[in-house]
Formats: sequence, C-alpha cells, structure tokens
Amino acid sequence: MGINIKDLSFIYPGSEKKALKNIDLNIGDGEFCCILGKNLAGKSTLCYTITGFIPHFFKGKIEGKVLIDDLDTTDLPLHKIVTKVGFVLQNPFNQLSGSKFTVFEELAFSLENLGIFRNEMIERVEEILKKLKIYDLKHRSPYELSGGQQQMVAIASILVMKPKILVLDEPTSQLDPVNSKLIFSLVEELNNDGVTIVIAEHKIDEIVEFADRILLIEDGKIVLDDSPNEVFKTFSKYKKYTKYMRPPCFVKLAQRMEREGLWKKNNGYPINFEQAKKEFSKRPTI
Amino acid sequence: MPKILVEKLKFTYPSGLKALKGIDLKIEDSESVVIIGENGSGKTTLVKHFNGLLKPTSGQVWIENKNTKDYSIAELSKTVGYIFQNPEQQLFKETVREELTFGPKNIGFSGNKTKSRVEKIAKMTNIYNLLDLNPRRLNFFQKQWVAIASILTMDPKILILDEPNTSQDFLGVNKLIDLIKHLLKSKKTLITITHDLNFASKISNRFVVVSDGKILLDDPPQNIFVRQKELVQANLISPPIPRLGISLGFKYPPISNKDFINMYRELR
Ligand SMILES: Nc1ncnc2c1ncn2[C@@H]1O[C@H](COP(=O)(O)OP(=O)(O)OP(=O)(O)O)[C@@H](O)[C@H]1O
Ligand SMILES: Nc1ncnc2c1ncn2[C@@H]1O[C@H](COP(=O)(O)OP(=O)(O)O)[C@@H](O)[C@H]1O
Ligand SMILES: [Mg+2]
Ligand SMILES: [Mg+2]
Repeated sequence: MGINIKDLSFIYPGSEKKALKNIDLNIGDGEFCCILGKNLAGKSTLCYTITGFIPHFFKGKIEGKVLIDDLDTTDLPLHKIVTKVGFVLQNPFNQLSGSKFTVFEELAFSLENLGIFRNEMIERVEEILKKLKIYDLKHRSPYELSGGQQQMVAIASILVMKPKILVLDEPTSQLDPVNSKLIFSLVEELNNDGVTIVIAEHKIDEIVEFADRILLIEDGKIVLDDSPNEVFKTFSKYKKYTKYMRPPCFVKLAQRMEREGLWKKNNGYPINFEQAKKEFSKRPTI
Repeated sequence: MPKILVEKLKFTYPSGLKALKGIDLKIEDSESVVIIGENGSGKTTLVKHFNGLLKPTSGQVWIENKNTKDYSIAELSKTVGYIFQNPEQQLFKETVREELTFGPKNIGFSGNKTKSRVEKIAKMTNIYNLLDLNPRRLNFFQKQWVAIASILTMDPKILILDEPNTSQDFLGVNKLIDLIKHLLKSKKTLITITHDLNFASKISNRFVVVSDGKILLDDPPQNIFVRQKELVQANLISPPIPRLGISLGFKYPPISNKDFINMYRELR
C-alpha cells in the first residue's frame, strides 16, 4: 500500500505559520522510510497527514492532497483509515483508550474496533504480548506501569491490528536499549513481510541499520531524500545538513581518526558496527 | 554527611506489586550519579522517595540527615527537586511564567527574588520566548524544558532528572549536557535517569544499575560496559564506540572518541 502526497501545505488552527510547506512525496508499497529533523521541523505533522489525523483531528488550513492506497484521506473517515494505517503516537500515554482495566483488554479493544471474532482476538493479543516480551503485564492496569512499559503496550496496541502501513512517531524514546532494539527488529521483520514503514526518529545510529530511505525535514520542507548509505558515505553529501542532524557515531569517529592521520578513507565512511570494525582492523598490527 | 542515604529500602505499590526489594545507596554532596536499567526495574520508584513523593514500605531514606518519613513533600521540595519522566504530569498552570513562578513563591521566595529567578532560569533553559504561552500547547520537548525550569527556579540543592532527554534532538541533548555541567559547577547534587548510555557517560562517572528492584552494579562506565552477564540481566547494551573498542582488542572500553583514539594509538 503506497502513500502519495501532492503539494501539501498545512497551517495549525490559530497559527499563522505553515507547519508543512509544499510537500511532494511518494512512498512506495513496502518501503522503509525514516523522517529525521530537529525539534519543531515538522516530523509529527507529516505523520499526522499520512495517518489522517490531519484533517480529521487537527482541522487547520490544508492545501494539496494525501492519497493512501489511491484514496484521498479527506474523503476517508478516520475509522476507515485506521484499518489500513497504524499510528504509534509520540506520547504513549495518549495512545491508551482510558477505559480499560487491564493490558489484555486494552489490546483486545484495538481489535474489537476492527470487528474481529473472539477466538482470533485472544490468539492475536497473546501472540503480540509474547512477541514484545510483555506477557507478564497481561493482567496489569495500563495506568500502573512504568513509562517504558506503557510505551511497549502502546506499540503493541497498534501492531496487534496488523496494519499494512505503519507510522511510528519516536516510538522508542522511553525504552531501554534491549527493548528499543527489539522494536526496531520487529518493525524490520514486518517490513520484510511487505508492510510499509514510516518512522520519525532521533536515533540515527539505529536508523542507518534499518531504513532504506532518509527524509530530512527542516522548517516544514523536505530538504533531503536519499538512502542512509548515500547520505553518510561521503561527507560532501552530508555537509550541507550538519545543522539539522548529527552523523552516525562511526562517521564522527572516522572523521576524527582521519584528521589525526590514523585512518584513510577508501570506500567512504563506515556507517555501522560491522563496517567500522572492518575499516579500523585493517592495520597490520591488529 | 552524605546528601542522600538510602538504607534497606523496600517499596510495595498499593496494588501489591513489590517495586523495590532492598536498596542501599549513598550519594555525596556535589556528585553526579546516573541511574540506568531495564524498563520497570524500579528507577522512577526509587528516586520518587528522594523528595517524599513516595514513602518507604520499610527501610529509611535520609536527605541531609533528615528522615523523609518525618517531612512533607513541600518541606523536602526546598532541598530536592524532582522532574517527572512525563512532564505533562507536572504542568498544570495557564502560562509558562506561572508554572515557573509557582514553586519559588510557594517556598517563600520574595516577589523580587522570584521574578529575577524566573528570568534567569527561562534564559538558561531556552524558553524565554515561551513565557506567555499555555504549557499544554507546547511540543513535548518544550514541556520537558518547562518542567526542568519550574524546578530550577526553586534553586534546590539536589536535582533529579527522570529521562530528561527522551524527545530532545541532538542540539537539545547538548544543551542539557551544558546545563548539567553548569549545575555541577555550582555544587548541586545531580541524579539523572536515562536509557542513553552515551549521554550518561557525558554527565557522570558513576553508573548505578537497577535490576528487579535491587542495585546490581554501582561503578564507573568503563567497569560496567565489560560486565556482559550483568548487562544482559539489566536489559542493557553497551554503546557502539565502547563495543567497537573491545572488539578491536582494547584493554578497556573507550568512553569517548578521544579515549578511542588514545587507545588505538597505544595498540600500534
Ligand atoms: N502506580 C503504580 N502502581 C503499581 N505498580 C506500579 C506503578 N508505577 C509503577 N509500577 C510498577 O513498579 C515497577 C517499577 O516501575 P518504575 O516506574 O519505577 O520503573 P522504571 O525503572 O522507572 O522503568 P522505565 O525505564 O520504564 O521508566 C514496575 O513493575 C511497574 O510496573
Ligand atoms: N497542535 C499544534 N498546534 C499548533 N501548532 C503546532 C501543533 N503541533 C505542532 N505545531 C507546530 O508545527 C510545527 C512542526 O511541529 P512538529 O510537527 O511537532 O515538529 P517535530 O515533530 O519535528 O518536532 C512547529 O512549528 C510546531 O510549533
Ligand atoms: Mg514530534
Ligand atoms: Mg521510569
């Protein structure tokens, strides 16, 4: 299922400033895109447009079009969009229904809305609890959890619906390193099964491992649209954008090694662990 | 006299959940301590005992020799400032300015002193231009700064930051690091909870690892990042640069790029 955005601009109600400016963007079926950019750049706003929150929840002033699976989101009611597009919100607390007493009921509630029968519902909830390794939270109240546990439940409540397009807004902000890695791997697994992924993130070191495509937003505009490899392998490509995002940690290290005459660039900068290990073990003494 | 002394602390939530299972901890004046560990391990529950938001089920918590069970939250707030993991639980006023003014007024600062602190802290936390806005209308990372500022205006000697970096971009994280260094220079005692071990190593040399309601390790990061068994137990992964150093045969995990380069030179 693809996403087509045509000349989209958006102004929040009561504001004069365009939060998005003339966005043209096509995301193909099965792509894995990451939205990067500073605070206030427009990452969440772009997520809202893809998920129908704009225009259905945030009214504002909108120009241009957003098509999901060739259907205009303006014409589709939110409860229809939800069946195609799953949206993990930036603040997990806002994801919870507010009406359920246990984590199990919270997740089952997601499926009730899709009209899924009881047996399948139970099976799917159990499956997602195990996948996210939060089975022990099954009978706990969603409001008596730690921040990170609540974020895991919020993610589960969307994944359990098995959407064809998954939009995640800084989904791992409160997760410990192992849980964070678990979520990135599960998202990659879904992507391998054909799910289209759009994720807004600050964690650049994780993103270069998983995403096919980086969309850098600055002041409501997409200023860069390329693969992580292309962006970071040569510094010349990245140079223009140092004010808007930091490079992966290995690029930074390699640049310093280069300056100090300890390493020479041949195939570009290493962007992940394996590449870095290979590059820096090359010396005869190791 | 330690700034904070925790003895045999156990805590059980009203639901019956045993969150802390025997914690002993001593934090000295002007220290910077980082608390790390698995989601749900008890980090937030532990630090909420330092300003009396929670009282021990058993055991003792002493702040500057005062047993927290004998003092109210309001009294402890003069000494200990806790900044919530979710800033939305902390903000309740109509404007950012009122939010920043509330604390100092409440603990008896004069009108003039309050006003000058609000100005100073608003500038220090980059929210001066937000003072007349409603905090509910702000972006999450701005709420995080407002929550920090509304505690700093009270000038507490001990500050607890519960995951202050979660929705900050790289510039915001750098500003946080600068702020924490500045506070340490002015002799504050700082306790920071975070999952970002890289950020953690920039602000502290003492990592307290909490696992299943107990303290598993309390050591400098160099020692923590090589304890593979304990890292697994606490759902932690050492950061990429230290991991790279170890895999290249360095004796110790390099904490910074500078460390890495020095150890790399030594190897040849
Ligand atoms: N209000 C509550 N009632 C009952 N149990 C709670 C409550 N708040 C937290 N808990 C439980 O207490 C334990 C410790 O939670 P705490 O919030 O201290 O964890 P944490 O280490 O801060 O985790 P995180 O990294 O996710 O913020 C967890 O098992 C959690 O589910
Ligand atoms: N609910 C809202 N009402 C008014 N303005 C908003 C709202 N949410 C975001 N904005 C504004 O839209 C712009 C983009 O914000 P946002 O999409 O939240 O950025 P990011 O997610 O990249 O931090 C900012 O100028 C921000 O102030
Ligand atoms: Mg956002
Ligand atoms: Mg916590």
